[in-house]
Amino acid sequence: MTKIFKRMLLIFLLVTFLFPIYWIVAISFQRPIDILSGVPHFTFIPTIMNYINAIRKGSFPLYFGNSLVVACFTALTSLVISTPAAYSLARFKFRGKKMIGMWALATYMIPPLITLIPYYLLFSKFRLLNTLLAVILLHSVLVIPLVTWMMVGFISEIPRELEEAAVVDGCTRLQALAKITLPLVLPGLAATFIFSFMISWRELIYAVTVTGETTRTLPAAIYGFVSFRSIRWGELAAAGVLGLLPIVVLFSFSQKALIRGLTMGSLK
Amino acid sequence: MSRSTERPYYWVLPLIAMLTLITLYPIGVCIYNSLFHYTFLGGLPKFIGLGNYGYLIMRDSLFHSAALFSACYTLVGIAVEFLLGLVIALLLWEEFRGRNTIRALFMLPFILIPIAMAYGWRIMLHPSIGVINYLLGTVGLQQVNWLGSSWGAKTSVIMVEIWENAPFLVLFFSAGLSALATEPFEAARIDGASTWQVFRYITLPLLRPVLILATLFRVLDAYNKNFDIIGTLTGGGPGRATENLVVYTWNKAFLHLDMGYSATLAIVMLIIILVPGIFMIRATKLTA
Repeated sequence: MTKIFKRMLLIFLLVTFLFPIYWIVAISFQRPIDILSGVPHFTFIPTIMNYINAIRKGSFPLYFGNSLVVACFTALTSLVISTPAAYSLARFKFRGKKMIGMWALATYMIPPLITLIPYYLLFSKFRLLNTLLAVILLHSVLVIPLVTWMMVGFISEIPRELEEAAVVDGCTRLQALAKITLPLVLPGLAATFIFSFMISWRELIYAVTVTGETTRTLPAAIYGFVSFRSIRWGELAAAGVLGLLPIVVLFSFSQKALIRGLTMGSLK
Repeated sequence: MSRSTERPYYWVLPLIAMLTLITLYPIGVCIYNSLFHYTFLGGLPKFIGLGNYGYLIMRDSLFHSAALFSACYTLVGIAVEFLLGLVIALLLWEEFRGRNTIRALFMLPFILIPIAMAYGWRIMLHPSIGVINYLLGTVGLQQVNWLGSSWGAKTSVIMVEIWENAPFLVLFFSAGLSALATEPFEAARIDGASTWQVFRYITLPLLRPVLILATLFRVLDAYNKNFDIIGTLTGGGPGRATENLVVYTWNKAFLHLDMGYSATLAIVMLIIILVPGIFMIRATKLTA
Protein backbone atom coordinates (compact mmCIF):
# COMPACT_ATOMS: atom_id res chain seq x y z
CA MET A 1 0.00 0.00 0.00
CA THR A 2 2.58 2.53 1.04
CA LYS A 3 4.72 1.32 -1.81
CA ILE A 4 2.20 2.62 -4.31
CA PHE A 5 1.95 5.87 -2.43
CA LYS A 6 5.71 6.23 -2.45
CA ARG A 7 5.89 5.58 -6.17
CA MET A 8 3.17 8.08 -6.90
CA LEU A 9 4.83 10.71 -4.75
CA LEU A 10 8.08 10.10 -6.58
CA ILE A 11 6.43 10.42 -9.98
CA PHE A 12 4.65 13.57 -8.89
CA LEU A 13 7.88 15.14 -7.70
CA LEU A 14 9.68 14.08 -10.85
CA VAL A 15 7.04 15.65 -13.06
CA THR A 16 7.12 18.86 -11.03
CA PHE A 17 10.88 19.09 -11.29
CA LEU A 18 11.07 18.29 -14.97
CA PHE A 19 8.16 20.47 -16.00
CA PRO A 20 10.10 23.73 -16.44
CA ILE A 21 12.64 21.94 -18.62
CA TYR A 22 9.90 20.49 -20.75
CA TRP A 23 8.28 23.91 -20.93
CA ILE A 24 11.30 25.75 -22.22
CA VAL A 25 11.90 23.07 -24.83
CA ALA A 26 8.23 23.29 -25.82
CA ILE A 27 8.41 27.08 -26.12
CA SER A 28 11.44 26.76 -28.36
CA PHE A 29 9.30 24.82 -30.81
CA GLN A 30 6.28 27.12 -30.73
CA ARG A 31 5.31 29.81 -33.17
CA PRO A 32 5.10 33.35 -31.78
CA ILE A 33 1.34 33.48 -32.07
CA ASP A 34 1.09 30.39 -29.90
CA ILE A 35 3.47 31.77 -27.31
CA LEU A 36 1.97 35.20 -27.08
CA SER A 37 -1.67 34.25 -27.12
CA GLY A 38 -3.36 34.72 -23.80
CA VAL A 39 -3.36 31.03 -23.04
CA PRO A 40 -0.34 28.74 -22.86
CA HIS A 41 -0.64 26.00 -25.39
CA PHE A 42 -0.12 22.42 -24.39
CA THR A 43 -0.82 21.22 -27.86
CA PHE A 44 0.53 23.14 -30.78
CA ILE A 45 1.97 22.77 -34.20
CA PRO A 46 5.72 22.57 -33.81
CA THR A 47 8.08 24.70 -35.81
CA ILE A 48 11.81 24.89 -36.08
CA MET A 49 11.79 28.53 -37.15
CA ASN A 50 13.02 29.60 -33.75
CA TYR A 51 16.13 27.52 -34.07
CA ILE A 52 16.79 28.68 -37.60
CA ASN A 53 16.35 32.30 -36.63
CA ALA A 54 18.44 31.96 -33.53
CA ILE A 55 21.31 30.50 -35.49
CA ARG A 56 21.07 32.77 -38.51
CA LYS A 57 20.13 36.10 -37.07
CA GLY A 58 22.03 37.71 -34.27
CA SER A 59 25.43 36.39 -33.37
CA PHE A 60 24.59 33.04 -31.90
CA PRO A 61 27.49 31.20 -33.58
CA LEU A 62 29.83 33.89 -32.25
CA TYR A 63 28.62 33.50 -28.70
CA PHE A 64 28.63 29.73 -28.90
CA GLY A 65 32.16 29.82 -30.28
CA ASN A 66 33.29 32.20 -27.56
CA SER A 67 31.92 29.93 -24.88
CA LEU A 68 33.63 26.97 -26.51
CA VAL A 69 37.01 28.69 -26.65
CA VAL A 70 36.75 29.99 -23.11
CA ALA A 71 35.65 26.68 -21.64
CA CYS A 72 38.32 24.68 -23.47
CA PHE A 73 41.13 27.02 -22.52
CA THR A 74 39.93 27.31 -18.97
CA ALA A 75 39.94 23.56 -18.57
CA LEU A 76 43.32 23.26 -20.27
CA THR A 77 44.98 26.06 -18.36
CA SER A 78 43.73 24.96 -15.00
CA LEU A 79 44.88 21.40 -15.62
CA VAL A 80 48.32 22.52 -16.75
CA ILE A 81 48.74 24.71 -13.69
CA SER A 82 47.11 22.42 -11.17
CA THR A 83 48.48 19.01 -12.06
CA PRO A 84 52.13 19.62 -11.08
CA ALA A 85 50.96 21.23 -7.88
CA ALA A 86 48.55 18.36 -7.26
CA TYR A 87 51.33 15.90 -7.88
CA SER A 88 53.59 17.47 -5.30
CA LEU A 89 50.76 17.62 -2.81
CA ALA A 90 49.81 14.00 -3.36
CA ARG A 91 53.35 12.64 -3.24
CA PHE A 92 55.44 14.57 -0.81
CA LYS A 93 55.54 14.24 2.91
CA PHE A 94 53.74 17.38 4.06
CA ARG A 95 50.06 16.68 4.61
CA GLY A 96 49.07 17.70 1.11
CA LYS A 97 45.65 16.19 0.91
CA LYS A 98 44.28 17.86 3.97
CA MET A 99 45.77 21.22 3.15
CA ILE A 100 44.46 21.33 -0.39
CA GLY A 101 41.03 20.28 0.81
CA MET A 102 40.96 23.09 3.32
CA TRP A 103 42.20 25.61 0.79
CA ALA A 104 39.67 24.53 -1.83
CA LEU A 105 36.91 24.84 0.74
CA ALA A 106 38.17 28.23 1.85
CA THR A 107 38.14 29.60 -1.69
CA TYR A 108 34.62 28.31 -2.00
CA MET A 109 33.66 30.62 0.84
CA ILE A 110 35.04 33.73 -0.82
CA PRO A 111 32.33 35.80 -2.47
CA PRO A 112 32.94 35.98 -6.24
CA LEU A 113 32.99 39.77 -6.07
CA ILE A 114 36.15 39.69 -4.01
CA THR A 115 37.85 38.14 -7.01
CA LEU A 116 35.93 40.08 -9.61
CA ILE A 117 36.60 43.64 -8.47
CA PRO A 118 40.42 43.47 -8.22
CA TYR A 119 40.79 41.57 -11.48
CA TYR A 120 38.39 43.91 -13.21
CA LEU A 121 40.55 46.83 -12.15
CA LEU A 122 43.65 44.96 -13.27
CA PHE A 123 42.16 44.15 -16.66
CA SER A 124 41.00 47.69 -17.01
CA LYS A 125 44.53 48.96 -16.49
CA PHE A 126 46.01 46.56 -19.01
CA ARG A 127 43.26 47.07 -21.60
CA LEU A 128 42.21 43.49 -21.17
CA LEU A 129 38.55 44.21 -20.77
CA ASN A 130 36.33 42.80 -23.51
CA THR A 131 38.85 40.11 -24.31
CA LEU A 132 38.41 36.36 -24.09
CA LEU A 133 41.69 36.19 -22.21
CA ALA A 134 40.10 38.04 -19.30
CA VAL A 135 37.29 35.52 -19.01
CA ILE A 136 39.66 32.61 -19.34
CA LEU A 137 41.81 33.98 -16.53
CA LEU A 138 38.87 34.57 -14.26
CA HIS A 139 37.35 31.18 -14.95
CA SER A 140 40.70 29.53 -14.30
CA VAL A 141 40.92 31.28 -10.97
CA LEU A 142 37.46 30.01 -10.22
CA VAL A 143 38.17 26.45 -11.17
CA ILE A 144 41.77 25.82 -10.07
CA PRO A 145 41.09 24.99 -6.41
CA LEU A 146 38.56 22.33 -7.36
CA VAL A 147 40.73 20.97 -10.18
CA THR A 148 43.72 20.70 -7.86
CA TRP A 149 41.66 18.94 -5.25
CA MET A 150 40.30 16.44 -7.75
CA MET A 151 43.74 15.75 -9.23
CA VAL A 152 45.22 15.22 -5.80
CA GLY A 153 42.56 12.62 -5.23
CA PHE A 154 43.18 10.89 -8.56
CA ILE A 155 46.96 10.93 -8.26
CA SER A 156 46.80 9.61 -4.72
CA GLU A 157 45.08 6.53 -5.98
CA ILE A 158 48.14 5.53 -7.95
CA PRO A 159 50.64 3.83 -5.67
CA ARG A 160 53.92 5.63 -5.52
CA GLU A 161 55.69 2.27 -5.62
CA LEU A 162 55.17 2.21 -9.37
CA GLU A 163 57.14 5.41 -9.74
CA GLU A 164 59.75 4.28 -7.27
CA ALA A 165 60.25 1.11 -9.28
CA ALA A 166 60.72 3.15 -12.45
CA VAL A 167 63.27 5.38 -10.76
CA VAL A 168 65.15 2.33 -9.51
CA ASP A 169 65.18 1.07 -13.09
CA GLY A 170 66.93 4.24 -14.18
CA CYS A 171 64.27 6.86 -15.01
CA THR A 172 64.38 10.35 -13.63
CA ARG A 173 61.44 11.37 -11.58
CA LEU A 174 60.08 13.36 -14.46
CA GLN A 175 60.24 10.39 -16.79
CA ALA A 176 58.55 8.24 -14.22
CA LEU A 177 55.82 10.80 -13.97
CA ALA A 178 55.32 11.01 -17.71
CA LYS A 179 55.58 7.36 -18.59
CA ILE A 180 53.88 5.69 -15.65
CA THR A 181 51.67 8.02 -13.66
CA LEU A 182 50.26 10.14 -16.44
CA PRO A 183 48.80 7.31 -18.51
CA LEU A 184 47.27 5.79 -15.39
CA VAL A 185 45.70 9.04 -14.28
CA LEU A 186 44.28 9.82 -17.72
CA PRO A 187 40.66 8.96 -16.86
CA GLY A 188 40.92 11.29 -13.89
CA LEU A 189 42.35 13.99 -16.13
CA ALA A 190 39.50 13.56 -18.56
CA ALA A 191 36.88 13.74 -15.83
CA THR A 192 38.49 16.86 -14.40
CA PHE A 193 38.70 18.44 -17.83
CA ILE A 194 35.01 17.83 -18.45
CA PHE A 195 34.13 19.11 -15.00
CA SER A 196 35.98 22.41 -15.38
CA PHE A 197 34.64 22.74 -18.92
CA MET A 198 31.10 22.49 -17.61
CA ILE A 199 31.70 25.01 -14.85
CA SER A 200 33.15 27.50 -17.31
CA TRP A 201 30.42 26.90 -19.87
CA ARG A 202 27.60 27.83 -17.52
CA GLU A 203 29.34 30.63 -15.60
CA LEU A 204 27.58 33.97 -15.71
CA ILE A 205 28.72 36.72 -13.34
CA TYR A 206 32.38 36.92 -14.41
CA ALA A 207 31.48 36.55 -18.08
CA VAL A 208 28.91 39.31 -18.01
CA THR A 209 31.24 41.74 -16.30
CA VAL A 210 34.39 41.48 -18.40
CA THR A 211 33.08 40.73 -21.87
CA GLY A 212 31.94 43.13 -24.52
CA GLU A 213 29.88 42.89 -27.68
CA THR A 214 32.26 40.65 -29.58
CA THR A 215 33.46 38.50 -26.72
CA ARG A 216 30.20 37.59 -25.04
CA THR A 217 29.89 34.03 -23.95
CA LEU A 218 26.57 32.29 -24.42
CA PRO A 219 25.24 32.78 -20.87
CA ALA A 220 26.27 36.43 -20.95
CA ALA A 221 24.53 36.89 -24.29
CA ILE A 222 21.31 35.33 -23.03
CA TYR A 223 21.50 37.53 -19.96
CA GLY A 224 21.81 40.60 -22.14
CA PHE A 225 18.75 39.63 -24.15
CA VAL A 226 16.73 39.00 -21.07
CA SER A 227 17.43 42.44 -19.69
CA PHE A 228 16.57 44.45 -22.73
CA ARG A 229 14.76 42.53 -25.37
CA SER A 230 12.54 39.89 -23.89
CA ILE A 231 10.28 39.92 -26.88
CA ARG A 232 11.57 37.10 -28.99
CA TRP A 233 10.69 34.43 -26.46
CA GLY A 234 10.82 31.55 -28.89
CA GLU A 235 14.23 32.34 -30.29
CA LEU A 236 15.66 32.92 -26.87
CA ALA A 237 14.30 29.61 -25.72
CA ALA A 238 15.87 27.96 -28.76
CA ALA A 239 19.20 29.63 -28.02
CA GLY A 240 18.96 28.45 -24.44
CA VAL A 241 18.24 24.88 -25.45
CA LEU A 242 21.10 24.87 -27.93
CA GLY A 243 23.41 26.13 -25.21
CA LEU A 244 22.32 23.31 -22.97
CA LEU A 245 23.17 20.57 -25.44
CA PRO A 246 26.94 20.41 -24.81
CA ILE A 247 26.34 20.12 -21.11
CA VAL A 248 23.80 17.36 -21.49
CA VAL A 249 26.07 15.45 -23.83
CA LEU A 250 29.11 15.83 -21.62
CA PHE A 251 27.19 14.95 -18.52
CA SER A 252 25.71 11.76 -19.89
CA PHE A 253 29.15 10.61 -20.98
CA SER A 254 30.91 11.30 -17.77
CA GLN A 255 28.23 10.89 -15.13
CA LYS A 256 29.84 8.08 -13.23
CA ALA A 257 33.33 9.49 -13.24
CA LEU A 258 32.14 12.93 -12.22
CA ILE A 259 30.13 11.74 -9.27
CA ARG A 260 33.03 9.62 -8.17
CA GLY A 261 35.42 12.51 -8.39
CA LEU A 262 33.13 14.86 -6.54
CA THR A 263 32.18 12.66 -3.64
CA MET A 264 35.55 10.97 -3.38
CA GLY A 265 37.16 13.10 -0.77
CA SER A 266 34.12 13.88 1.25
CA LEU A 267 32.52 10.52 1.79
CA LYS A 268 35.52 8.31 2.54
CA MET B 1 63.07 7.91 2.68
CA SER B 2 65.20 10.70 1.25
CA ARG B 3 63.40 10.57 -2.09
CA SER B 4 60.39 12.22 -0.54
CA THR B 5 62.32 15.41 0.03
CA GLU B 6 63.96 15.35 -3.36
CA ARG B 7 63.63 18.80 -4.90
CA PRO B 8 60.29 19.75 -3.39
CA TYR B 9 60.88 23.45 -3.89
CA TYR B 10 60.32 23.53 -7.64
CA TRP B 11 57.01 21.82 -7.16
CA VAL B 12 55.86 24.14 -4.43
CA LEU B 13 56.16 27.21 -6.64
CA PRO B 14 52.98 26.65 -8.65
CA LEU B 15 51.19 26.18 -5.36
CA ILE B 16 52.38 29.43 -3.93
CA ALA B 17 51.55 31.21 -7.17
CA MET B 18 48.05 29.76 -7.07
CA LEU B 19 47.57 30.67 -3.46
CA THR B 20 48.62 34.22 -4.08
CA LEU B 21 46.71 34.83 -7.28
CA ILE B 22 43.51 33.17 -6.19
CA THR B 23 43.27 34.06 -2.55
CA LEU B 24 45.76 36.61 -1.29
CA TYR B 25 45.84 39.08 -4.16
CA PRO B 26 42.06 39.56 -4.48
CA ILE B 27 41.46 39.84 -0.74
CA GLY B 28 44.42 42.13 -0.34
CA VAL B 29 43.37 44.48 -3.12
CA CYS B 30 39.81 44.60 -1.82
CA ILE B 31 40.95 45.47 1.68
CA TYR B 32 43.23 48.13 0.27
CA ASN B 33 40.57 49.64 -1.96
CA SER B 34 38.01 49.61 0.80
CA LEU B 35 40.06 52.18 2.66
CA PHE B 36 39.62 54.74 -0.08
CA HIS B 37 36.88 56.78 -1.53
CA TYR B 38 37.40 55.64 -5.09
CA THR B 39 35.02 55.83 -7.98
CA PHE B 40 35.73 55.75 -11.68
CA LEU B 41 33.92 59.02 -12.05
CA GLY B 42 35.30 60.92 -9.12
CA GLY B 43 38.94 61.59 -9.88
CA LEU B 44 41.78 60.43 -7.67
CA PRO B 45 41.18 58.01 -4.83
CA LYS B 46 41.06 59.60 -1.42
CA PHE B 47 42.19 57.76 1.67
CA ILE B 48 39.45 57.65 4.27
CA GLY B 49 40.52 54.80 6.50
CA LEU B 50 37.55 53.01 7.92
CA GLY B 51 35.09 55.59 6.72
CA ASN B 52 33.45 53.24 4.27
CA TYR B 53 32.92 50.67 6.98
CA GLY B 54 31.46 53.24 9.31
CA TYR B 55 28.96 54.34 6.74
CA LEU B 56 28.09 50.76 5.88
CA ILE B 57 27.34 49.72 9.41
CA MET B 58 25.67 52.86 10.66
CA ARG B 59 23.91 54.60 7.84
CA ASP B 60 23.52 52.33 4.82
CA SER B 61 19.97 51.09 5.06
CA LEU B 62 20.25 49.53 1.61
CA PHE B 63 23.02 47.33 2.94
CA HIS B 64 20.85 46.30 5.83
CA SER B 65 17.91 45.34 3.65
CA ALA B 66 20.20 43.53 1.21
CA ALA B 67 21.79 41.59 4.07
CA LEU B 68 18.37 40.74 5.40
CA PHE B 69 17.23 39.37 2.08
CA SER B 70 20.47 37.42 1.66
CA ALA B 71 19.82 35.78 5.00
CA CYS B 72 16.18 35.12 4.20
CA TYR B 73 16.99 33.72 0.77
CA THR B 74 19.69 31.43 2.13
CA LEU B 75 17.81 30.14 5.14
CA VAL B 76 14.40 29.58 3.58
CA GLY B 77 15.91 28.15 0.42
CA ILE B 78 18.07 25.68 2.26
CA ALA B 79 15.38 24.61 4.67
CA VAL B 80 13.03 23.64 1.84
CA GLU B 81 15.77 22.16 -0.36
CA PHE B 82 16.88 20.04 2.52
CA LEU B 83 13.46 18.57 3.11
CA LEU B 84 12.83 17.97 -0.57
CA GLY B 85 16.29 16.52 -1.14
CA LEU B 86 15.98 14.16 1.80
CA VAL B 87 12.48 13.01 0.89
CA ILE B 88 13.43 12.32 -2.71
CA ALA B 89 16.66 10.59 -1.73
CA LEU B 90 14.76 8.37 0.68
CA LEU B 91 12.20 7.58 -1.99
CA LEU B 92 15.05 6.62 -4.30
CA TRP B 93 16.83 4.52 -1.73
CA GLU B 94 15.45 1.12 -2.47
CA GLU B 95 16.20 -0.51 -5.77
CA PHE B 96 13.45 -0.76 -8.30
CA ARG B 97 13.30 -0.96 -12.02
CA GLY B 98 14.30 2.34 -13.60
CA ARG B 99 15.49 3.82 -10.35
CA ASN B 100 18.85 4.91 -11.72
CA THR B 101 17.23 6.56 -14.70
CA ILE B 102 14.83 8.46 -12.49
CA ARG B 103 17.66 9.53 -10.26
CA ALA B 104 19.59 10.80 -13.27
CA LEU B 105 16.49 12.66 -14.46
CA PHE B 106 16.23 14.42 -11.12
CA MET B 107 19.71 15.75 -11.69
CA LEU B 108 18.69 17.75 -14.74
CA PRO B 109 17.71 21.06 -13.08
CA PHE B 110 21.06 21.08 -11.40
CA ILE B 111 23.36 20.39 -14.31
CA LEU B 112 21.68 22.57 -16.88
CA ILE B 113 22.79 26.16 -17.30
CA PRO B 114 21.28 28.33 -14.56
CA ILE B 115 20.57 31.26 -16.79
CA ALA B 116 18.79 29.23 -19.42
CA MET B 117 16.61 27.68 -16.73
CA ALA B 118 16.05 31.02 -15.05
CA TYR B 119 14.89 32.37 -18.37
CA GLY B 120 12.50 29.46 -18.70
CA TRP B 121 11.10 30.30 -15.29
CA ARG B 122 10.71 33.90 -16.30
CA ILE B 123 8.47 32.83 -19.15
CA MET B 124 6.53 30.53 -16.89
CA LEU B 125 6.01 33.20 -14.26
CA HIS B 126 4.81 35.85 -16.67
CA PRO B 127 1.54 37.23 -15.29
CA SER B 128 -0.46 36.95 -18.49
CA ILE B 129 1.15 34.48 -20.85
CA GLY B 130 2.87 32.36 -18.24
CA VAL B 131 1.80 28.82 -17.60
CA ILE B 132 1.94 28.96 -13.81
CA ASN B 133 -0.76 31.55 -13.53
CA TYR B 134 -2.75 29.69 -16.12
CA LEU B 135 -2.63 26.49 -14.08
CA LEU B 136 -3.52 28.37 -10.94
CA GLY B 137 -6.50 29.79 -12.73
CA THR B 138 -7.75 26.43 -13.91
CA VAL B 139 -7.83 25.00 -10.40
CA GLY B 140 -9.61 28.06 -9.13
CA LEU B 141 -6.78 29.70 -7.25
CA GLN B 142 -5.95 33.33 -7.56
CA GLN B 143 -3.31 34.37 -10.00
CA VAL B 144 -0.18 35.96 -8.65
CA ASN B 145 1.89 38.80 -9.99
CA TRP B 146 5.02 36.75 -9.59
CA LEU B 147 7.77 39.00 -10.77
CA GLY B 148 6.03 42.33 -10.46
CA SER B 149 5.13 42.38 -6.80
CA SER B 150 7.50 42.51 -3.87
CA TRP B 151 6.44 39.28 -2.17
CA GLY B 152 5.81 37.53 -5.45
CA ALA B 153 9.31 38.31 -6.59
CA LYS B 154 10.89 37.18 -3.34
CA THR B 155 8.97 33.93 -3.48
CA SER B 156 9.77 33.35 -7.14
CA VAL B 157 13.46 33.81 -6.65
CA ILE B 158 13.61 31.47 -3.68
CA MET B 159 11.42 28.99 -5.51
CA VAL B 160 13.77 28.80 -8.48
CA GLU B 161 16.75 28.50 -6.17
CA ILE B 162 15.11 25.52 -4.50
CA TRP B 163 14.14 23.98 -7.81
CA GLU B 164 17.64 24.25 -9.16
CA ASN B 165 19.55 23.01 -6.16
CA ALA B 166 17.43 20.39 -4.44
CA PRO B 167 18.79 17.87 -7.01
CA PHE B 168 22.28 18.49 -5.73
CA LEU B 169 21.12 17.46 -2.30
CA VAL B 170 19.33 14.45 -3.77
CA LEU B 171 22.64 13.37 -5.26
CA PHE B 172 24.56 13.97 -2.08
CA PHE B 173 22.05 12.29 0.18
CA SER B 174 21.67 9.35 -2.18
CA ALA B 175 25.40 8.78 -2.11
CA GLY B 176 25.35 9.03 1.65
CA LEU B 177 22.43 6.67 2.03
CA SER B 178 23.94 4.04 -0.23
CA ALA B 179 27.13 4.12 1.81
CA LEU B 180 25.33 3.20 5.00
CA ALA B 181 25.82 -0.26 6.45
CA THR B 182 22.78 -2.48 6.50
CA GLU B 183 23.28 -4.18 9.86
CA PRO B 184 21.73 -1.49 12.05
CA PHE B 185 18.64 -1.48 9.85
CA GLU B 186 18.25 -5.23 9.89
CA ALA B 187 18.71 -5.31 13.63
CA ALA B 188 16.10 -2.61 14.04
CA ARG B 189 13.65 -4.44 11.84
CA ILE B 190 14.15 -7.61 13.84
CA ASP B 191 13.51 -5.66 17.00
CA GLY B 192 10.26 -4.44 15.52
CA ALA B 193 10.99 -0.75 15.13
CA SER B 194 8.53 1.34 13.15
CA THR B 195 9.56 3.20 10.00
CA TRP B 196 9.57 6.51 11.81
CA GLN B 197 11.68 5.13 14.65
CA VAL B 198 14.19 3.67 12.25
CA PHE B 199 14.38 6.99 10.47
CA ARG B 200 14.79 9.06 13.58
CA TYR B 201 17.14 6.94 15.60
CA ILE B 202 19.20 5.19 12.94
CA THR B 203 19.07 6.84 9.55
CA LEU B 204 19.42 10.42 10.69
CA PRO B 205 22.30 9.96 13.12
CA LEU B 206 24.21 7.82 10.64
CA LEU B 207 23.64 10.41 7.97
CA ARG B 208 24.81 13.31 10.08
CA PRO B 209 28.26 13.85 8.48
CA VAL B 210 26.72 13.90 5.02
CA LEU B 211 23.96 16.24 6.12
CA ILE B 212 26.40 18.70 7.65
CA LEU B 213 28.72 18.65 4.64
CA ALA B 214 25.81 19.15 2.25
CA THR B 215 24.49 22.05 4.31
CA LEU B 216 27.90 23.66 4.21
CA PHE B 217 28.07 23.54 0.43
CA ARG B 218 24.52 24.75 0.00
CA VAL B 219 24.85 27.63 2.43
CA LEU B 220 27.97 28.89 0.69
CA ASP B 221 26.37 28.55 -2.72
CA ALA B 222 23.06 30.15 -1.83
CA TYR B 223 24.90 33.03 -0.22
CA ASN B 224 27.45 33.60 -2.97
CA LYS B 225 26.17 32.27 -6.24
CA ASN B 226 22.69 33.59 -6.77
CA PHE B 227 23.45 36.24 -9.36
CA ASP B 228 22.25 34.00 -12.18
CA ILE B 229 18.82 33.49 -10.73
CA ILE B 230 18.11 36.87 -9.22
CA GLY B 231 19.74 38.81 -12.04
CA THR B 232 17.68 37.03 -14.69
CA LEU B 233 14.35 36.93 -12.93
CA THR B 234 14.14 40.31 -11.28
CA GLY B 235 17.46 42.13 -11.49
CA GLY B 236 17.00 42.96 -7.84
CA GLY B 237 13.53 44.40 -8.30
CA PRO B 238 10.80 45.30 -8.23
CA GLY B 239 12.32 48.29 -6.57
CA ARG B 240 14.84 46.62 -4.32
CA ALA B 241 12.70 43.75 -3.13
CA THR B 242 15.02 40.99 -4.28
CA GLU B 243 18.25 42.91 -3.97
CA ASN B 244 20.55 40.79 -1.87
CA LEU B 245 24.18 41.39 -1.00
CA VAL B 246 25.57 39.98 -4.22
CA VAL B 247 23.30 42.05 -6.45
CA TYR B 248 23.79 45.17 -4.32
CA THR B 249 27.57 44.88 -4.40
CA TRP B 250 27.68 44.14 -8.10
CA ASN B 251 25.48 47.12 -8.90
CA LYS B 252 27.64 49.36 -6.75
CA ALA B 253 30.78 48.19 -8.53
CA PHE B 254 29.65 48.01 -12.14
CA LEU B 255 26.65 50.26 -12.43
CA HIS B 256 27.73 53.05 -10.11
CA LEU B 257 31.42 52.34 -10.64
CA ASP B 258 32.11 52.95 -6.96
CA MET B 259 35.18 50.78 -6.52
CA GLY B 260 36.01 51.78 -2.99
CA TYR B 261 32.64 51.15 -1.44
CA SER B 262 31.96 47.99 -3.42
CA ALA B 263 35.27 46.60 -2.18
CA THR B 264 34.08 47.40 1.31
CA LEU B 265 30.84 45.54 0.67
CA ALA B 266 32.75 42.57 -0.70
CA ILE B 267 34.99 42.39 2.36
CA VAL B 268 32.00 42.64 4.65
CA MET B 269 30.30 39.85 2.68
CA LEU B 270 33.38 37.75 3.30
CA ILE B 271 33.41 38.54 7.00
CA ILE B 272 29.73 37.70 7.33
CA ILE B 273 30.16 34.24 5.87
CA LEU B 274 33.41 33.55 7.69
CA VAL B 275 31.82 32.81 11.03
CA PRO B 276 29.21 30.25 9.94
CA GLY B 277 31.66 28.95 7.32
CA ILE B 278 34.44 28.18 9.76
CA PHE B 279 31.96 26.82 12.25
CA MET B 280 30.57 24.40 9.70
CA ILE B 281 33.98 23.35 8.42
CA ARG B 282 34.94 22.47 11.98
CA ALA B 283 31.76 20.46 12.30
CA THR B 284 32.55 18.42 9.19
CA LYS B 285 36.13 17.79 10.25
CA LEU B 286 35.04 16.44 13.57
CA THR B 287 32.53 14.01 12.20
CA ALA B 288 34.03 13.06 8.85
